[in-house]
Amino acid sequence: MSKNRYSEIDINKINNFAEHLLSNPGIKFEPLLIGERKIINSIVQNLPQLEIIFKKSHFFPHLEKDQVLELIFENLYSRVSGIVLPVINKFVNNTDFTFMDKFSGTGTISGKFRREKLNDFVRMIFRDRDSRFNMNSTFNIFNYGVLEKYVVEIFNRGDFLHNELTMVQKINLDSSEYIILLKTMLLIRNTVCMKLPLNPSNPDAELSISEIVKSREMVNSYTNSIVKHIIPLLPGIPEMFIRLAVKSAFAADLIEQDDAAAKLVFILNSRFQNYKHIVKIERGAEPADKSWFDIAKRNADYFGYDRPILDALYLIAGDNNW
Amino acid sequence: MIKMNKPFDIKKALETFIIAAIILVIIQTLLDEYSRYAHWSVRSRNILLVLGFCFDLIFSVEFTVRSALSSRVNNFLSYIKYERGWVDFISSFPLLLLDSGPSLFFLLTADAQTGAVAIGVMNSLKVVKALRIARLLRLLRVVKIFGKVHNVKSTMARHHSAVITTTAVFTIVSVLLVFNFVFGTSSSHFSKERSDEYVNRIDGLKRIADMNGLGFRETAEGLLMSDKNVLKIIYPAGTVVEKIADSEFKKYYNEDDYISVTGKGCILLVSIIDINKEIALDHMQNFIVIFFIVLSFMFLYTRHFVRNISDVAHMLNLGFRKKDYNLLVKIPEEKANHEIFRLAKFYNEAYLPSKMKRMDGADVKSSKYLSMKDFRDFK
Repeated sequence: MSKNRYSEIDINKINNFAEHLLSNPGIKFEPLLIGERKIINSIVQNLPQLEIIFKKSHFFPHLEKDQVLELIFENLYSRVSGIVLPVINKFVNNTDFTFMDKFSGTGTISGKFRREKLNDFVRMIFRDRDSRFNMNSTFNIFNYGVLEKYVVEIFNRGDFLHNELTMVQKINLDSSEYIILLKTMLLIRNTVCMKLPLNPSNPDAELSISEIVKSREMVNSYTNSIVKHIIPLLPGIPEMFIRLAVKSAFAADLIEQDDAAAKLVFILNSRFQNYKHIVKIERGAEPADKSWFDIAKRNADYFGYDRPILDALYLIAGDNNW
Repeated sequence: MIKMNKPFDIKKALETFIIAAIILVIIQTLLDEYSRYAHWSVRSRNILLVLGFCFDLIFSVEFTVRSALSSRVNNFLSYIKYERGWVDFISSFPLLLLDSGPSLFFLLTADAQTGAVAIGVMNSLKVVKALRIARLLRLLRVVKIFGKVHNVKSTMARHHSAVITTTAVFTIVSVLLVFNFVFGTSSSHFSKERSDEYVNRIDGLKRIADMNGLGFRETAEGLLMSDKNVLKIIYPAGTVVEKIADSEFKKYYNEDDYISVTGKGCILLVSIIDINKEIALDHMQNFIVIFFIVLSFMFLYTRHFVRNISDVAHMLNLGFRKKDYNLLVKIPEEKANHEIFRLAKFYNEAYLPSKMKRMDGADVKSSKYLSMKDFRDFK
C-alpha cells in the first residue's frame, strides 16, 4: 500500500478508529492476533451497513469503502506485525540451523542464505490473513518458551515420547536441535491455511486446508502438493521436515503412526492457539497446561489428538505444575 | 488547577468510628477486669467505669439510629436477623441500663445518699454487681469487627464464618451467664459468705471475752488486726482502729472492695479484693477464650471453608460463565465423595470437555464481538 495516497489526517483518523475498535470490551482482553481477526470478521460481515456509516461526516466521508478497508486492515496489520514478527525474527536470526544439513539431500547451505529465505517465507505467510490468524499459537509458543520447557523435560525423562520422537521417527537430535526443528515446523505449518495454486494443470484453482476432504488419501495428496510448493521457497530445510510440518496441521488418524513430531506440534498448536497467559492461578485450580491436557484427553477422538502423547504431556505438566 | 476535594462520606466515617469504638470497648472491658485483678487505684477504676458508660451509651445510640433507619425502609426485622442487630441490642441497652448506667449513678451520687436511701442504694448496687458477668456481652461485639475484617474475598465464606462465630460466642456467653446466675459465682455470693464468716468470728470472740470476764477489745483486737482481710475495727463507742492510713484507704478502696460486717462487739470493714481478683481473673480468662475462638474461626475455619467450599464454587462459577476459563478444579482424594467435589468432578470430566468442543472454532466464525453500535460509537 502506498501511504502517500492518503493524508496524515486520514491516517490518524483511521488509527483512532482502530484504537476505538481494539478497546472494545469484547476485544481488548484478547491477544492482538485474535483481536485483529475478530475486527476483520466483524467488518467483513457487516460491510453493507458499514459502507453507509463510513460515509457519515465524523467517519471518512471523502474516502471510498475500499480505501477505508485498506487503511484499517493495514493499520491492524502493522500493529500485529510489530508485536509478532520481532519474536519470530529473533528466533530465525539467532538460530544455527546447520544440523538440518544432515537430513538434506542437497548438501550444505550457508546459514545466512537459509535465514534470509526463512525470513522471506515467514513474511509471506504472515502477510496472508488466514495464515496469520492461525499464528497465535506459534507466537505464544515462541514467546512463552513452551518448547524449551517441554522438549527439555521430554528428553530428561527419556521415556515413551522421547523414544517416539527420536528412535521411532529416526530423527536423532539433541534437545536444543529438536526445539529448533519443532519451532521451524510451527513456522512452516501455517502455509496450509493459505490458498495456493497446487494443481499445475489448473493454476487458477487455489486450495487451502479448509477445502480438503479429511481422508488419508486426500491428505496425502495435498501434503505432497504443498511440500512440492514449499521446497523451492525454503532451500536448506530438508524435505522430511517440511513434510512433517505440513502433516502437523492434520489430526493424528490422518497421518502415519510414526510421525510423533507432527502429532506433538498438532497438539501444542491447539493448546496455544487461544492461550491466555495466567500469571497467578486461583487457589484450588489445577495448573493451566495440566487442565488443558486433561480435558483434551477426554476429547482426543473428537479433535484428533494422539492420546499417548497427550498422556505424556499431561504427566509432564502435572509433575511440573505447568 | 482546581483541586477537587472528595465529598466527605459521613456513613463511612461513622462506620469507622463504630469499629474504633468496638476495638476500644474490648480493650476497656479487658482493662476494667485487669484493674480489679491488679487492684488499681479507685480513681483509675472510676475512669474505666465512666469510659464503659460512654461506650454503652454510644452503642445504644448506634442501635437506636440503625433501628430507626431500617424501620424507615421497613427493614427492621432484616436488620435484627441478618445484620446482627440482635448483637447490637444485647450488647448495648442491657449493659447501659443494668451495669454501667447504675454504677455511674452510684458513683456520682454516693456522697448524697444517706440513711434509708443509702441502704436502698447499697441493695441496688448488689444487684448490679451480680450482673457484672453481663459485661461479657460486650465481647459479642468482637463478631461485629469480624464481619468488617475482609480477610477473604468470598462473600459466602465471610457470611458463614460470621454466622458460626456469632453462634459460638453467643453460646459461650449465654452458658457463662446462666451458670453464674444458677450457681452463684458472683461477687455478692462470695461477699455474703465472707460476711457470715466474720460475723461468726466477732460473735465467737465476744462470747470468749464474756466467758473470761475480759473486755472485748483486749481479747479480740490483736487477733482481728492480724487478719489479712480486716481493714478497720469500729467499736460501739465510736473508736476506730485502722490497719492502713485513711488517705491510702480512700485511694485504693471503694465500696466494691470491702464489706461492712456488724457483730456483737464491733463493726469490721473486711477486704474482698481477693474475691474480686479471682472473679476478674475468671472474666479475663473467659475474655481470652472468646477472643481466641473468634480468631480461630476467623483464620482457621474461614481458611477451611474457603478451600473446601467457596474456592470450588468460585471456580465452577468462572467456568460456567467465562467462555475461555477452563481450569480443572483440584479434587482432594480424601474428599472426593463430598457433594461439592462430586459436582466439581462432573464439571471437570463432563462439562469442561463438552465446553471445549462447543467453543471449537466458535470465535473464528462469529461476528458478534462488534455490533453496529460499537462501530457507530466512534467519535
